[in-house]
Amino acid sequence: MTTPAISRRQFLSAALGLAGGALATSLPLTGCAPTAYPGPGTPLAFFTPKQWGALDAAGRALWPDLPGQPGAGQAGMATFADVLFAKANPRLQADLRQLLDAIEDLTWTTGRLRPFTALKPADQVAYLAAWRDGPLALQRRAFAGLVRLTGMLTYMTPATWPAIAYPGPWIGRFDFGMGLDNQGPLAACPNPNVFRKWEGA
Amino acid sequence: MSKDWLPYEPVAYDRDLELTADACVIGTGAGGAVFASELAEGGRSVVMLEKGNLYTKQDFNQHERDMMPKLFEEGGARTTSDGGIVVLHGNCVGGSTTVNWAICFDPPEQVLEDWTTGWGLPDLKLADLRPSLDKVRFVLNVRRLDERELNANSRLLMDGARKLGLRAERFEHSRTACVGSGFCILGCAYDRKQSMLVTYVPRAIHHGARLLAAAEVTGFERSGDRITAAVGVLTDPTTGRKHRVRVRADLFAVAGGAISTPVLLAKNGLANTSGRLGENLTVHPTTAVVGMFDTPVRGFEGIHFGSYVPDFEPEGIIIESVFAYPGLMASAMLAAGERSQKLMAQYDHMAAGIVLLHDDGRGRVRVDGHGLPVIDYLVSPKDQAKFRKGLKTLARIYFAAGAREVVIPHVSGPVLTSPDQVDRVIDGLDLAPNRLATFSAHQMGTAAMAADPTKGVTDPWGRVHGWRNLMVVDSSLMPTSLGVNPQITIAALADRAARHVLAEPARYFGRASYSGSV
Repeated sequence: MTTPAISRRQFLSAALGLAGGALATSLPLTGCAPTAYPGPGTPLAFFTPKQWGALDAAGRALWPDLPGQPGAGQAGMATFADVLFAKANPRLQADLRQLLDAIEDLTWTTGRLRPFTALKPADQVAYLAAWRDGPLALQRRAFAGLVRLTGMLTYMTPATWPAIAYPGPWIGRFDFGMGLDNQGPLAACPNPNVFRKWEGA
Repeated sequence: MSKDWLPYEPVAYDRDLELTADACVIGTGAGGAVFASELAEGGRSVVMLEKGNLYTKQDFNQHERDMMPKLFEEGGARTTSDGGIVVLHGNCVGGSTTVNWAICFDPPEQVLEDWTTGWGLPDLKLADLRPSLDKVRFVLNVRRLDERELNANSRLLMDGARKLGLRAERFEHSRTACVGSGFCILGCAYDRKQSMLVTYVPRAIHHGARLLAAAEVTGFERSGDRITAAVGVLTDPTTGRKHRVRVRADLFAVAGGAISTPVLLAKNGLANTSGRLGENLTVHPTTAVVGMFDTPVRGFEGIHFGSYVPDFEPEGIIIESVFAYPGLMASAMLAAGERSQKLMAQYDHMAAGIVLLHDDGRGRVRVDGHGLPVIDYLVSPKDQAKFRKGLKTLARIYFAAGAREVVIPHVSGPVLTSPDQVDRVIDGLDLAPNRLATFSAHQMGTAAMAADPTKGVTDPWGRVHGWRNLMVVDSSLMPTSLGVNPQITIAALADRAARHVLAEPARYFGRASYSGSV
């Protein structure tokens, strides 16, 4: 019943396996300005500055900030992820660290290794697109995982909601005079059957 | 100030606990809560141990970013081992019922027939299960949604289906005086969704059961073919300090769900004489389709799951209306970039539905070096064909309802603009793992019932083969995929198991009883 976690070597192989066509793929993706690592003294709960930078850059490539529509950058996605993953289980933490290290350290473009965060935005987009359509299942898994993670964390953030006409939670917005303040006690159980004896068979 | 009706006390632990009871129930979802409540109502002393925390309406703030990490296993980020399927299940008091959409189906008659004949399970035809189903439906206040309760998203599914000559039905739900906020899966902030959190767990406490939340069972003490105690760790939610808990009992029932139950049993070397523990996993693989409409749909308002198309149920396909909060929606699109950003900009113009499969494929649950579950599951070729049929049907339903575009959640980002494109595009999709957005909210089968101890993990009542006082009472018991949303079936099986136990006290409570010491 025991299985090893995905090995670092598998991740590294996968990342390097992308090298060839990474910049050749065109995609309906647009990048925007990359960010640098957080400066010295910026408190991070989980990521190393390098990992934070890789996630931030990948998020900006996948969910770009558009005019009037915040994406991952303006949503502060990477910082949110840092807080969230500090409490995650060790397997999730290890997987994400491996992925981000692989992205940042093993980006092979134009015949050499370059930090992902040092690429031009369009090249970051193309690089991730190559993972999406890569020959290895691990590459495709990494791409799908990144899209899910960055998309979810971006749009969980209220900063993105005005642009998509999502009004957010009811709580604090209105209660229609129905006494829907969930902070106060509810004196009676709404469903009387909860404590009622069942008289059936 | 009046007192709240819920019987919960604040969770606080400042010392190790030693408890004794007639029964110790591990897990408080649709199976564990019902089993515990029935035993307590039958006069037995019961301790409920729940790994997750206790959250109630005051804690449910309707924000995905806050509630997903609290209420879901791995914060909703759990996947199969190849990443291909997002596996959602609850990790809190009430289990997955706290985070579901409250849909209720009786088990399909044919599925129960298959269990009876194929797995040697006597007395499990629909008529046999009816008394348990009726009681569960009574306590959960199950009723069909009223026409007025349907939101625009659910209406569009019905309109489109009927234009294609398909049937479209309103769901039965477990709700009482629902206010229609639409935040069901983030915990109902109004106690109106009739999850176990606000029904059977309070009912169990009302009948004398004791609940320990944030209580993770890690091991069992045993003597011969009997379990004598469950041991674990209590975590004080305020201080984070850990304390030991030990519960001695006559009867132990594991109800952690089809992922956690086999992991707990396997880590303790229990219940695997058949070699079937953790095997036989079914997940109801599910994907989605989004229709883009010219007029606002605002599918996030009202009850998200309102209607379904039953026509393809015999083929193992159910089409259901659903909606998702922005984070889940963006995540489920599985495509990114400016195009997806522009689609998200029309979030309030989206209608969404899912294709849920009665799966033919099987997977398994293993344990990794961290002691965490590894979920192996591949969508079978037969199920891939069902996905294609369901996707095509749902795409056509949205076009019939007036959609100007239909989005398939595939990494290649297909956006259809005409029904003429449906067959060609969907037939051409690569359905390998991590290509089509796929998730599971229902996991079943990893400790299946079977009369033959070489074929299943438990006997027809959920008692683990080879153990006199160890039971499983959750979705793990189901020998095959159910094909419909399972909470009512899980609850009814637990009710049935409890009736059986209460009817045979000498068998299950034969030793000196620990009654009354909870």
